[in-house]
Amino acid sequence: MILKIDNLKKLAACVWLICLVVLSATGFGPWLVLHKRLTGYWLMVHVTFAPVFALCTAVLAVMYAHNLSFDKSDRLFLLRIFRRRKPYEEFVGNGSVIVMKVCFWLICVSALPLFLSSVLSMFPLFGTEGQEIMFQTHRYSALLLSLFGILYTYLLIRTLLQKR
Amino acid sequence: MTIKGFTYTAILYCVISALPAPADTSGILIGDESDGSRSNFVHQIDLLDEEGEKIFLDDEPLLPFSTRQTCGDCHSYDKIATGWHFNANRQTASPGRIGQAWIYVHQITGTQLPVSYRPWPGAFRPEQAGLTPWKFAQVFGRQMTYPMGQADESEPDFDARWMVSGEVEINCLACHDAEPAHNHAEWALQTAKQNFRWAAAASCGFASVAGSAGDMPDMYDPFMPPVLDDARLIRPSVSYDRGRFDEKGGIFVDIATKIPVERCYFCHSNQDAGVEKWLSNEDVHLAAGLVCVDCHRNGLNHAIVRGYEGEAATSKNPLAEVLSCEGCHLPGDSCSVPTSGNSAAPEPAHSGIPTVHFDKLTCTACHSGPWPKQKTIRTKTSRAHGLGTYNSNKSEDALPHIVYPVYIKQADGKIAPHKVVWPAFWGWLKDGAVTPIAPETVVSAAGEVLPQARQASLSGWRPLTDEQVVQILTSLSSYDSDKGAPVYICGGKMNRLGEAGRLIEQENSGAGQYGWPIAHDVRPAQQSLGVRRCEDCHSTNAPFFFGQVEIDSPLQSQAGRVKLMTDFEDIDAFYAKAFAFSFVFRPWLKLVTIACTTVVAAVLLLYAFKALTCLAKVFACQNNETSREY
Repeated sequence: MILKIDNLKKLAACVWLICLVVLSATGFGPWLVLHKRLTGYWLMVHVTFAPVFALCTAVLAVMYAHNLSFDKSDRLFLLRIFRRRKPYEEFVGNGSVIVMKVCFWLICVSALPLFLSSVLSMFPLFGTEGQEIMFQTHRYSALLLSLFGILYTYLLIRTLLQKR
Repeated sequence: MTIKGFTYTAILYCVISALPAPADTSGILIGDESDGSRSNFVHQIDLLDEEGEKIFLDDEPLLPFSTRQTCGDCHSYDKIATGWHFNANRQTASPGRIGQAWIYVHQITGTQLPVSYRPWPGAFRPEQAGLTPWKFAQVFGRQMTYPMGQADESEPDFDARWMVSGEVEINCLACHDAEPAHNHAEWALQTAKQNFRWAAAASCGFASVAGSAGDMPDMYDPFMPPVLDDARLIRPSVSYDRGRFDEKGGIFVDIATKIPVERCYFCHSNQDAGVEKWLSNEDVHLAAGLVCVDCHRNGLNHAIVRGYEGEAATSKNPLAEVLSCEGCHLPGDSCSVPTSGNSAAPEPAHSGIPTVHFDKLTCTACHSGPWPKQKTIRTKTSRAHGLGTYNSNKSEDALPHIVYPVYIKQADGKIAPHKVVWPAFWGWLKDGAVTPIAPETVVSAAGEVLPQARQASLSGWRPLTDEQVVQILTSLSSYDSDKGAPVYICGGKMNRLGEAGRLIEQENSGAGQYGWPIAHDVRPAQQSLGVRRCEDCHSTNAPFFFGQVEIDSPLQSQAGRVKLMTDFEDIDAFYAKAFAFSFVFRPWLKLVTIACTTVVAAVLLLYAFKALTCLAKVFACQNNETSREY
């Protein structure tokens, strides 16, 4: 059972990563390369991967939240950094792990405006100005999420390589 | 002159030189500038004939008044003539955005050809279709607003009789006469009779015209009318309502600067097929109490605001940028002071509409013209069908055949609703370009192949068979090989003789549709596209993308052809279909995204509370340690 859940976690993480790459490419590609808004086939691909990405984010949030929540070791690590380590405390966490945890929680936080800005703009709630704000919110929260996602992935790969 | 005298003279000269020079008022007439009063100026005026002489009721012969002289006495006629309505045949005039061309119809030869003096793409010069200014004035004079006469003839036209008919002047009263008795249909009738000189007088309520210049001999002198040999012929003459003149010979003409909409309607009306006048709604702006000239404004130079996006780049009118859809309805930031909200124009919310729509569509795409149906509808316009004139053809099938709304991508990259006419004409193909052949030439070449005039049906096409076209093309081939190969353009294709005398169909740039963007009638906001849901346009059978555009053609073998709307929007039909299909899943997308957002938010909230608990514990521990220390 544990093995199955572990596999599911890995699968969700892989799909999430693939979706992140596709969504970043289709979302920022037209903007950066063609200096155009996201339309046409780019938009269709973007919208196709978006719900999968949202689903994976939710699954990963639930599955990894406990693993990646901050614990005593992280607190001690931080205290050591700020030179307030207590002599009787032995175990000290890894710096990369803490950054990964931070990234995870920032991904979750930036996912909220990212999802909300896309879904709310589909309802007749906001006028032209509101739509523009939603669009910019979507764009910049996506940028943040992508950066945290990249950083998280980089640290994860590095940690795995170090373990080997 | 003594030295003293010379000194005085010099001083006087210096004093006079030092005085401020009077303002240069050369060329400015009394009516050219307003004194600022918003009240209406009462025009109790003298009527002047074309020589500038005052008209007295006892004159013999009694001449019609000339607008050039009568109105031009106080208003600079030449400056007014530079205005949009009057400058089409001036080479120097800016063509502006493409507009409705005149459509020259010759039913028997299967011709409907857009012609215009403005160099609009797709429209031919009238001369190319055999329309000399003289002939043009007779065919289109009914609603033609620009002056035309001998001076417009680039080549000698031996059929022209400008001396007999008089020249076509700007009919100021066509717009500015607020009298209910003003009848522009009379103007149209008189131009058909070659009574150009008398047309303006005939249209107003205080004069009537009889006779026809067209019936008069070529040497007829209207200033010294001879006795006519044929007693049945009536020479053109005018009579005035004597009771309207004051004791000094002046007359009150009810001139309005705020032109009543009915005046505009004479040339700018629409009649959709199958829609009775009482069933259709007026433009929402008119329903709200505005009149056309509230937006379409102009000064003395009559450079009227047409009101389209980007007009300011070519217009001389300083209000061109302000008096557009966006200018009135959207708060712009281009001006130093707020300019939107003219005439209490409401600012639209456009709730839920992604802003990409404003980059890709004109305002009119969603707000103007009829709600699109699965197939375009036919419509008649004043200028194409002579609506409002006597004996106008009331048949829904009357030529020319104009279809709309067709959503076409414009040069600025935005999609806008257009009216479209499919050119049908005979022409010479040379170096890939097609030049029209005058219908009269085709008639003579065709001989018995074409139906005679009396056999022609009252309205609609007299269908042509492939065999007829082959015979006429064969006949034209023997005419003049220097001009090129004869072709027949119709139904968006070029038809020419192929091997073994068969008719072959080819593509040619000159065969495409002639379309002009429409702005009116604007529908109420509650009837704009997308008001109900996205699927108004983004569904797999939405007319906006998948509507059928009728391809009109007199050729029997091309009957019933249609094109898809996406062909005109420069959009891949498969993409449009796939995109529309994706909207089927949009509710699921919303549901999944909301659910996922809720889950992520719940996790964040849960661990935020946990973090808060930890924080509280940490502080609690620290407090205990601190208290122990004390």
